[in-house]
Amino acid sequence: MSKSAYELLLQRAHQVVQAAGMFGEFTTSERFSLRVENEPYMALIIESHPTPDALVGEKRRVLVAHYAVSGGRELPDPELEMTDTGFPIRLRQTAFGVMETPVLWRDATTGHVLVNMRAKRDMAELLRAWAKNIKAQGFIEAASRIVSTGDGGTVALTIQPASDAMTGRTQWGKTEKECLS
Amino acid sequence: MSVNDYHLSLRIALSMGARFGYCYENAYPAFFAFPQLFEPHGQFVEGWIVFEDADQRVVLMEHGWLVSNTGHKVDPTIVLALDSGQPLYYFPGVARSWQETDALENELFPHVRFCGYGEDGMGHPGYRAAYASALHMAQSRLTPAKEFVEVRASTVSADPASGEEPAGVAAIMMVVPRQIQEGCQGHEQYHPGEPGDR
Repeated sequence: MSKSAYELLLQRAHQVVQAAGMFGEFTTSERFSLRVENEPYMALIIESHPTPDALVGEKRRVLVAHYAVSGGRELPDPELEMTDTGFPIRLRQTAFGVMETPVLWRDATTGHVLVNMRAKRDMAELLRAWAKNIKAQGFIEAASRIVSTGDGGTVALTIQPASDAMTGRTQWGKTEKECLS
Repeated sequence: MSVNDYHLSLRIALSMGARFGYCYENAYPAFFAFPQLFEPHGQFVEGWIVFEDADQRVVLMEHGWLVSNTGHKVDPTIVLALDSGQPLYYFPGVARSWQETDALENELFPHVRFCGYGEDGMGHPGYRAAYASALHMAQSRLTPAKEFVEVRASTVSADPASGEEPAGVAAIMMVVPRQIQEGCQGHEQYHPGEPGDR
């Protein structure tokens, strides 16, 4: 059976995190956040944390996102929160205004866990394309250039421009981004 | 921020003679006036928006808008009040297909209030969840200097001289055929492993 769009996206997130050598932190940290710079594309953000409310028995929540910056604000473009098995919880997109579409939630009145099947179905195509793009745009390779530092943090490097790669000049300290783990 | 979506919405608003405060009256005819945009995969959405107005108020408003065949948001109402760069958040509660929307001609809007989910529509779990998310967003944007305002849909003002514009649209008739009731649903209790759970 082929993977669902959500499982594909989660698989892609796992591949990026593994390429960064941070899968252990991804599955155990109280607050895991990885930012992968990959010009000219928007940085890819992958986060995970213990679930505040196990909706479908999940242990952790995973967030995958790109953010566009406009007027000093970071706007999700898009941002998906899902369970650690890849079931979507909430999608946020920016298209004149931020639209937040809940897929899975606990009803405050009844306590039942509800799923919006239509929203889930409608966003599948977008998420499948997104999963494909993360790979095609080289985010896994970009993540493999992340180097752990001695103080428990990590440093993410952008991909070197071809000219610099040819000369062998490093970009250390020039394009580093602090990543929390 | 998609300037194209904003400009498309503005063009539609101007061509339709849209008025601020009449979101359902603006969106519903636009849905059928531009079939190249909305037929067959467009959606008519009822939900909530949060924005800040020029008077430092955080506004939570019951609202209706459209989604095009290609997934672009089209809102011929809010563009009459906000610039393209102003913070604006959408929380869809009930999304209806072209066929479901077509069946609502001459019905009341927001229709979620008139298809068995209570007078305020809050019996619909998706509508209620969208409201809760919108309220959370509105509260997160409040500061001591900002006032919170909640605007619910209502019938057209009986007192036009009041100057207040309603968020909803007047009733025409109230007939709720079976297919419309079904069209209001779409949220199910989660049962893992069942067909469709992928």
